[in-house]
Amino acid sequence: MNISAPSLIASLTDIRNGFAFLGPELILSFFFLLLVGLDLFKSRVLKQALPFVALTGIILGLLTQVNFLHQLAAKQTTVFFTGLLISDGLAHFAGLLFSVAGVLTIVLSLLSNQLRLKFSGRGEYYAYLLVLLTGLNLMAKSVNLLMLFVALELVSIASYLLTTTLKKQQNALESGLKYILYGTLASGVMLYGMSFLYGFGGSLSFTDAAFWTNLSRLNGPFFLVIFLLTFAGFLFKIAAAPFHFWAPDVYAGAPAPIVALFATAPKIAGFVVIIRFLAQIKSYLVPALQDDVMVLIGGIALLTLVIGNFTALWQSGARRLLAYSSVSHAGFILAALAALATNSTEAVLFYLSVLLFMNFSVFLLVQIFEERLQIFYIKDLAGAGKNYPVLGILAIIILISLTGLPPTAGFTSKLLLFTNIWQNYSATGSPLLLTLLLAGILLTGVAFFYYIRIPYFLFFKRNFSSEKKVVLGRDNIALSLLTLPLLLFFFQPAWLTELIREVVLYSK
Amino acid sequence: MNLNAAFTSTAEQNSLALWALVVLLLPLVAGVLLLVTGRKLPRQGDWLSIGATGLSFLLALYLFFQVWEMPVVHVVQNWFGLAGAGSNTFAFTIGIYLDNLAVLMLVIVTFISLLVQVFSVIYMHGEWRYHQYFGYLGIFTFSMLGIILADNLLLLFVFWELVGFSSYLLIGFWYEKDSAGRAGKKAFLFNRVGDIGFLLGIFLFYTYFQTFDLVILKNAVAGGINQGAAFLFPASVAGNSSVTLSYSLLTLAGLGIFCGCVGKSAQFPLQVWLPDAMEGPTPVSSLIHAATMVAAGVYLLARCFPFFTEDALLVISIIGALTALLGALAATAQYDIKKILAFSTISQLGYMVMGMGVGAHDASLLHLVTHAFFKASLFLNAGIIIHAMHHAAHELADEHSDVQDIRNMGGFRKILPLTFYAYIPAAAALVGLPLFSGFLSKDAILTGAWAWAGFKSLNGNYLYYLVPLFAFGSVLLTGFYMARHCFYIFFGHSKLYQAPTLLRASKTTETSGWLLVPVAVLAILSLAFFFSFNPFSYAGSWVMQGLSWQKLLFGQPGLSADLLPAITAYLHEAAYISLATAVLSVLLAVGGLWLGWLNYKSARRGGILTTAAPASSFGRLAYHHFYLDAFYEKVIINPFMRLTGRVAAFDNYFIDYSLNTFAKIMVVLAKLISWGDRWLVDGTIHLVVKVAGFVGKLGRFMQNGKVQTYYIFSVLGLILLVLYILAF
Repeated sequence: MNISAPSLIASLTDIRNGFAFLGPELILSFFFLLLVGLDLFKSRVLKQALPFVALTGIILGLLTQVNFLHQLAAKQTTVFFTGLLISDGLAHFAGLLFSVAGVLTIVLSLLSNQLRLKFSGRGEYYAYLLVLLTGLNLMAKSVNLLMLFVALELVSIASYLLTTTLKKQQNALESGLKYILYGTLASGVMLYGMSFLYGFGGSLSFTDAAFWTNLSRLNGPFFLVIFLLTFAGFLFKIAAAPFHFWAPDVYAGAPAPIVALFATAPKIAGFVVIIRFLAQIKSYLVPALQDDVMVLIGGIALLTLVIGNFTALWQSGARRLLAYSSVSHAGFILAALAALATNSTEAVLFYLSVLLFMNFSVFLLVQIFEERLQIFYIKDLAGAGKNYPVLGILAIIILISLTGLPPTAGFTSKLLLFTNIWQNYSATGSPLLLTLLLAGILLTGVAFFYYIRIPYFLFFKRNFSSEKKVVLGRDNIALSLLTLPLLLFFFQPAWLTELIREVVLYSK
Repeated sequence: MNLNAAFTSTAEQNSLALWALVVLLLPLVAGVLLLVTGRKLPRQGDWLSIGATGLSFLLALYLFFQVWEMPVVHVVQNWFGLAGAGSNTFAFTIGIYLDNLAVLMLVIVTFISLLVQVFSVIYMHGEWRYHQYFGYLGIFTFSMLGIILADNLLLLFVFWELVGFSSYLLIGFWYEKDSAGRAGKKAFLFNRVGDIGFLLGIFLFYTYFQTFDLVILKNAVAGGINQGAAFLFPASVAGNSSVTLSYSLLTLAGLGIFCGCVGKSAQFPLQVWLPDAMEGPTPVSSLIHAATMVAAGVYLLARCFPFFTEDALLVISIIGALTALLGALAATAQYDIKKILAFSTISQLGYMVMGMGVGAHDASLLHLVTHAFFKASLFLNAGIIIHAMHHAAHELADEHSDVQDIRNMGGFRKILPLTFYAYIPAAAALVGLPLFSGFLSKDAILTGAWAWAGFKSLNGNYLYYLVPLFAFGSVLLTGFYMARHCFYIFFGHSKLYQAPTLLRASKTTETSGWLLVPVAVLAILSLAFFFSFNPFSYAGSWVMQGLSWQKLLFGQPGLSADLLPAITAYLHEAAYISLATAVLSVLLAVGGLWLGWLNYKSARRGGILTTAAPASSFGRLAYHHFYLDAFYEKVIINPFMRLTGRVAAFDNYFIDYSLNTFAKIMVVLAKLISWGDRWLVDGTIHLVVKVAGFVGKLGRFMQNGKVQTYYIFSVLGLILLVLYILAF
C-alpha cells in the first residue's frame, strides 16, 4: 500500500467535508445511542418518554431532509466519502419518505395495544427503528457496491430484530427466524453476484463509466446471470418474485406498525437502488445488453404481478392478503422501470410516496380490527361497517386507493405509471412494454376483486350479533388523518409532482 | 314592453311591502311548523297558530292605517326570465300591490281567520288531528292573503290554486267519513273546471300584451281605442307594435277570467260544490266557504274589472242574478242548519257578482265586506248550536237523529239566550233590515241594478229589467228562509232534547267563552254603524268611498268605457230609484219574514218532526237544488265514466295484450341469449377464473411455511429467469 501523503490528506479532507451531507444519519445515530443509554435507567417516566425521544430524533432528521430539499437548486449532486456515498435529490427525497415512515411507525406503535402496554424491550424496539432508518438512508445514498451491501445488511439485521419484537407471540419468533434464514440466502446470492461485478468491472463504484465499460465486454447471458444474482438482494428488499417468500410470513408475525414500515421504507430504498443501477446501465452499458436487461426486468415484473395478484385471491387473512398486495405493487413499479427510461422515475416516486400513505393507513386499519375489534379474518368483518360506519367508510377509501380507482391518490399514481409505460411503448414500440401495460391493467381488475371483498364483507354481509363494543375515537381520528393524503393527492397531485420533478432534476 | 322601468319604489313603500310580506308569511310559517312538529308542542300548538294570525292581524291593521286613502304601494321584483326567440327574454315579475281594497281585505281575512281559530279551540277540542287542522288553516290564510297581495295574474293564479288546495284539505278534514272525502273531491274538481277558463283568459291577455302585471294590463286596456267591432291598442301601451283585437275576442277573454270566479265563488252553473262543502268542520265553513275564499271570485272581478267589455259584464250580471235567485229558492226548502246558510251564501255571492256585472263595483265590494262579517257570524252561531246538539246527542247516546236538522231544534231562544242575541243582528243584516250592515250593501247593489236596467232599456228593450227583478225576488226569499231558520231553531220547543242542561255547557254557563266571543264580535260588526255613519244611506259609507272605481281604477273603467259614467249620470237624473229601492227592499224583506212566520206556524201545526223531504213538486225541486247534481251526474259524469270504462277495456284487451305478447317473445329470445351467455360467455369467464385460481393456488402451494421450500423455489425461480433470458 503506497499511498502518498497528499492523496491521503485529500482523502481525509474529503471525508471531513462529507459529514456535511450526513446530517440525518448522524442525528439518527446520536439518538440511537441516546435511546440505548436512556433505556439503561429504571425510571418509569424515562421509559415512557422513550418513544418520544425516538420521535424527536426522526423529526429532527426529517427537518434536515426538508431543509435540504428546500435548497435543492442551490446544492449540487456531490459524491463524498471517497466515492462511497452520494448526496442528490433522489437520496434526500427517499430520506424524507423514510422519515415520514418512521414518524408514522411511531404513531401507529403508540396507538397499538400490544406495543403501548409495558412490553419488554421497548427501548430496543425504538432503537432498532432508528438503526433501520439510518441503514435506509445510507442505502439510498450508496454508490459503492460494498457500501451498498453494508447498508443493506444494516437494514436487514434491524428488520430481523424488529420482526421478533413481540417475543411472547409464538409466530413472531418463527417468522423472525424465517426472515433471517431467507434474508441470508438473498444476501449471499447478492454478494456472489457483486463479487462477479467487482471482478469483471474492476471497481466497486457502480457510478463509474469505466465499471460499466468493462462489464460491456462480457457476453450477454453471462452478464445477465451475474446481474440477476446481484439483483436478488434488491428483489428481496422490494419483495418481488422470486424473492417474495418472506413477505407473507413476516407480515403475519410482526407487529402491524413494523409491517407497515416493511411494506414501504425498505421497498422505497430498494427501488432507489434499482433506479440508480438502471440509470447507470442506461447511460454506460452497450445497447445490446441494455435490451437484455430490459427483458429481464420485464420478466421479473410480469412474474411478480402474476404471483402477487393471483395468490392474493386465495387469502383469507388480511395480513397475508396485504403481503401479496405489497408484492403486486412491487410488480407494478418494476413494470414501469422495465423501459429503462429516465422519465419513469417521476411516476415511480409518486407511486412510492402514495404507497407510503396507503400502506400505513391500511395497516392502521388492520391494527384497529385486530386489537380493538378482535377481527383477524376477512369473513369476520361481516357487518362491521354498519356498527362502525366511520371506520367502514375510511376502509372503503383506503381499499379503493389500493385498487387504484378514483377519487383517490391510488388512481392518480396508477394513472401516471400506466401513462408512463404507454409513452415509453409509443417511443420504443417494444412489445414487452405493451404486454406489461395490458397485464398491469388486467391485473388491476383482479386486484379490484380481492380488495373489494373487504368492503363487501363490511357492508353487505349481515351480522346478527351486531353490537357496538368499543369506542374508536382516537383510532378514527388517526385513520382519518392518514386517509386525508389519499384524497388530497388525487385532487391536488401537483403539490407532490412539482416536488418530485425538482428532485429528479437534481439527481444523478 | 319595458318592465324594468316600473321597478322604482321609495324606501317607505319598500318597508310597507316588507310588512305585507310578513303578514303573508306568518300564517304559513305557523302552519308548516304545526304540520311538522304540532303533535309534540304543548296544546298541540294552537297558540302558535292563533298567535301568528293575531300578529298578522295587528300588522294588517297597521298597513290599513298606512295605506287606506293614501297613495298605492306597488313594489315589483324580477322573478325569473325565459329566453325567447332571438335575443329577447320574457321577464316575469313578482310584486306586492297594496291599495284600499287590498289592505281592507287583509284586515278582514286575518281578523276572521283569527276569530275562527279562537272558536276552533273548543269546537275542535279532542280531535286527534287537532294540530293538522290548525296547520291547514294557517296554509289557507297564507294562500288567501297571497291572492290579495299579488300584483300579477300568474302569481294570483298560483295562490288561487293554493286556496283551492287548502279548501280541499279542510272540507275533507274528516276524511274517515266517506261523504266528507267525496265533498272535498267534488269541490276541488268543480273549481278546476272554472280554473281552466280562468287560465285560458290569463293566456289570452298574456298572448296579446306580454305581461301578467295587473297595473300594466290596466294601463294597456285603458289606452285602447274603441273602433266599434274592435279595439285598437297603440304601440305605446301594447308593447312593441300596435294590436287590434276584436270586440268578441276581448269579451271571451274577460269571460275566461270570469270562469275562475264562477268556480271559486260558486256561481251558476258550478255552484253545486258549495252545499256539499258543508261536510267540513263548521268553523271552516265560516271562514272559507262564507267569508273569504268564496269572496275571492268577487275580489278577482274587482281587480280585473277593466278587462270586461260591456257584453261580458252583461253575462256576468245575468249569471249573478240567476245564481242569487236559484240559491235563495233552494235555501227555502232546506232543513239542514248549515245547508240553508250555504245556499244563502250562494245567493249572496250572486248578488255580488251581479253587482259587478251591473257596474255597481263599489256596492258589490261593500257587500263582500259586510257579508263576510255577518255570514261568518251566522256560521259560527250554527257551530255553537251544532256543538250543543252534539253534546245532547252524546249525553243521550242518540246516534240516529240528525243534529243539524232544524226540525230537531227549537226553543233555543231560552236555552241559549246569548247565542240568540248574537244571532239576531247577523240574521237581520242578511235579510237586509235597516240599521244593519246588509241593508246598506244590498240597497246599494239593488239601486245599481235598477239604474243599470233603466239605462240599458233606454233603447226600448225592457228584458234588462229581469236582472233587478230577480234580485228583488231574492230579497223576499231571503227574508223567508231566514225567518224559517230563525223560528225553527230559536222558537217553540225542541222535541228531541228538551232538558236545557243537555244543551248547555253547565247550569250557569251557556257555552264556552271561546265560542261566544268570536260570534258576538262578528255580530256587533253586523251593525250598519260601522260601515256608514248614516245607517240608512250607503252613499256616505266610508268603505264605499274608499272602494269606488274612481279610486281603485284611477277613474279608468277600461273596456266597458262609458258604461259606468253613463249609469252614474242616469242615476243622477232618476233620483227616485234610490229611495224606491230602499223602501221596496225593506218591504220585501219584511214580507219575506212574515211569509216565513206563516210557513213556520203551518208547519208546526202539521207536526214539524217529519224528517222526509218536502212533498210539493216545487219543494222537491228546490230541496234537491233543481236536480243540478243529478243533471251533471247523468249528462256529464256518467257518459264520461262509460267512456273511461271503454278506454280502460281497450287498454286491457288490446294494448296490454299486444304488450304481453311482445314481452313473451322477448322472454323466449332472452332465454336463447341466456343459453349462449351461460355456455359461451360465462364459460370463457369461468375458464379465466379457473386459470387465475390455479395460478393463485400455485403461489399458495409454494408458500407452505417451510424455509427450505422457499429456498428451493427461489433458486428455481432464478434458474427459470436465466432460462427465460436465454430463450429470448
